[in-house]
Amino acid sequence: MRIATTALGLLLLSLPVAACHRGAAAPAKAAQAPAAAPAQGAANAAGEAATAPAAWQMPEPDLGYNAREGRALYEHYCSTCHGSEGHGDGFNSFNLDPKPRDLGDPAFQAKRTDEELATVIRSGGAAAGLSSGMPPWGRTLNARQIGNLVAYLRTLKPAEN
Amino acid sequence: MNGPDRSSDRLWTWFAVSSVVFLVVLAVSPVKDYFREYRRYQDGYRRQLLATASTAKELKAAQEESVGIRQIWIPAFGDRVDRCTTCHRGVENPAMARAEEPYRTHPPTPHTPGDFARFGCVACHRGQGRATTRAEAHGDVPDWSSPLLPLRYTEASCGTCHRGLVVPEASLLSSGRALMNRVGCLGCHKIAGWDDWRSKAPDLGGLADETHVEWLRAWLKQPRSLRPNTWMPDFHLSDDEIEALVSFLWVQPGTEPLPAGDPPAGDSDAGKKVFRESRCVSCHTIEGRGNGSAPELSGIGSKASRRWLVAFLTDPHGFQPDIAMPQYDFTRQQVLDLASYLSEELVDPSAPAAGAPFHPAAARVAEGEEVFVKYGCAGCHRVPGRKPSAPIGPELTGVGGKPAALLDFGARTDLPRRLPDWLAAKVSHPRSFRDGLRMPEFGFTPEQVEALVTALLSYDATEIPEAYRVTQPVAHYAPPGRFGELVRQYRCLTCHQMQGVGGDISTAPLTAEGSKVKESWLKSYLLLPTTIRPILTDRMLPFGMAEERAGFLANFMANVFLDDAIPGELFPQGPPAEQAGRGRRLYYERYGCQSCHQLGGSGGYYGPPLDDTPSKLRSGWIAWWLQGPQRWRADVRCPDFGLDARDAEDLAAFLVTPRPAAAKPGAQP
Repeated sequence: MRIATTALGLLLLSLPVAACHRGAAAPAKAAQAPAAAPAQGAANAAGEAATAPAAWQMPEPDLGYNAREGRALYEHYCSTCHGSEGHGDGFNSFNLDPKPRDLGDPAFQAKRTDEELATVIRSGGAAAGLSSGMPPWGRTLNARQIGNLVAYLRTLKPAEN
Repeated sequence: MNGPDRSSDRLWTWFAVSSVVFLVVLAVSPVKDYFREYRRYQDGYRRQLLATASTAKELKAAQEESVGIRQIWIPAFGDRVDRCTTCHRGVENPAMARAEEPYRTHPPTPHTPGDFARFGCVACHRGQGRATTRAEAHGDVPDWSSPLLPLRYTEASCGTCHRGLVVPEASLLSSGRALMNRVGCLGCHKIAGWDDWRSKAPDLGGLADETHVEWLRAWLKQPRSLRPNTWMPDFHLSDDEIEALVSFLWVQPGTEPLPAGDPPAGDSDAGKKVFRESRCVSCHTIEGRGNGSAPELSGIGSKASRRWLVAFLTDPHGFQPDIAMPQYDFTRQQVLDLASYLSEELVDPSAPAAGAPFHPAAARVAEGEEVFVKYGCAGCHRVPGRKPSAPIGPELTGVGGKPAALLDFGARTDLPRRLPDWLAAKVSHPRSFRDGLRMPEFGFTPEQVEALVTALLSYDATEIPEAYRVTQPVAHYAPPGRFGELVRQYRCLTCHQMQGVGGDISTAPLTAEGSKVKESWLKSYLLLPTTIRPILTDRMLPFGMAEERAGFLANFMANVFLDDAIPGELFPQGPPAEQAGRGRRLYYERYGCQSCHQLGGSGGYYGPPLDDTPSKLRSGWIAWWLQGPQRWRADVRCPDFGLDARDAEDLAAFLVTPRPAAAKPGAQP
């Protein structure tokens, strides 16, 4: 009898605790559900895009902040020799001997580590036993900028031909 | 005799029950705490630390990783409390660079990893800093007042403290603000901090003198059908509105009346030569090629009458007082020839031909004025003699922090109910929200939309403490006297900077020009500019100025635009041969200057050719420049080689030594 009463008491008392826990979980679920709804709505809208000219979605950006900063630096400082796509065919490459390499070449990309690329940018070609035609940028660009430049170099694709 | 037994039983029961109740009540708090979401994340982080620890120190750090709420408290920045690091445990740990979120190291930015304690997280990423659950902190639920900023737009937050037009480390924000400055958002929408904005659109007087009505109709119908790269947006005007607007514009007088009578004929071929030699494509485009800061000219002959072209080219500032275009010192014959070339050769076969003379009815003119006011044309275009009107669109100050619940999504039920998506749809298809809206379509590319949304999001209403604000100092400089008159005539400040004022098309500010170049070189350069940077399409314009004017300008700059910090002549007796020889070796072998500079018939074309250095540059300036090329402009492309004074002076000695190869033909050996 005593045991039964105690058990019943425990059971009854555990209910509010369980309810309390469930209560905490419920708003979280409620909060997540509407979050998913607009995504579905957007998907539906994308499905209807063919018929409704107004439906329109922003394409995903091709680069994140770091590679984008790298791209801006590349275009400003590097592309004149290395070419807009990194194929070593920039305006000034015709005057250079040796010519800048194709930075998008997968074999080159695989051979060099990020640190090696950063070293050549920082200290110039001569520091890596290469041409002094590649100047050192370590006093012009800071470590973050050089890191982001390397991040962008990693997105370059090989030349088509 | 069960009575006492039974009552003692009951007492026992009550005692048991109340004990249990007491224990359970005591347990509620620890149990709730045990189930907190962040514990799961912190356990996960500890496990990752233990799994990847490779040194005893790392192992100890992992074992000491305790469970609890972490926060960054910034009393100086509005008493912010950011608890994001409770779950994002690895943001400051470089070993977590490849970990999955929420543990990944924060990527390097100008303010990370150095400034976490100064800015916290919410200042850049938004969301609810004090929350300790994922859903509440990120707030990625519709209509939440301050949801997390999508990562692609994070640069917007740079702009809440950095108020200037250009924020070098935030390229997306900067291009968005540059677009806002260019396309005329400010013509209709006021934004605090943009009070000095001026439209670059032309004044709209005297159109009846300039063009024919068929062209104006086609232009208002769809500007891009005539100039694909124009910034004039498409207002989707009805034919009726166009007819009224054309009538109104047709009767607006210009700043100057056109001289009477047809000007004499000119030679189109000679005009083509003038067009090329005057380097008009330094600013204008021909079929999209050129700098693009001034209008496309490939169809100008189908728009402008030759009579107007002659008058305009003779006195551009009389017709458009605020135009960026310089006034060349053309001869009368050059103007006639140039106008013939523009009107005969640069024609657009698809543009409408001129029809019968147009005489608008007075009633239509009045209707047209209503259309002109309705669409806020005066926001961008000045009409001579008409007062500028207030911007017609809603003010956009604080738009970047508007809660989604306050936005009018109208017919756009397809959009996620979030501010960035609303802004993106608004700038892309402004008329899709409901009928009767007046905002025109600009035809932005997705990249431009992304940049604009980033810029607009940067104008939120967050109070930024003074210590956190970064404003660009606004310089005020008006070139004085006759020098000033000539600077205004040639519009030097459209491209060049003087004392912090002016455009940035030219890479070299003129502020220390007198310390940099020799007066005689400057004079001859003003008379006939040589190409300094072959890679640029925008080059110094030959204005055809008289010798006396060039001499005056050169003399003024040589005596006024000086920087006392820059040494003068280093070699009064001429550069010593030994020093020049050492400089030569440094030039070719040590620093590889020939990669970028042309000298003695070989070298690159990235930087300016150096053959004319002896007659052009001051030796003190060369040595000074070489020891810090980024001193005047942070984005100068010549790398800082970290030269010491000796190397710099040796290089200067080499460069100012006259070279036989550079001697003029016919000169005495």
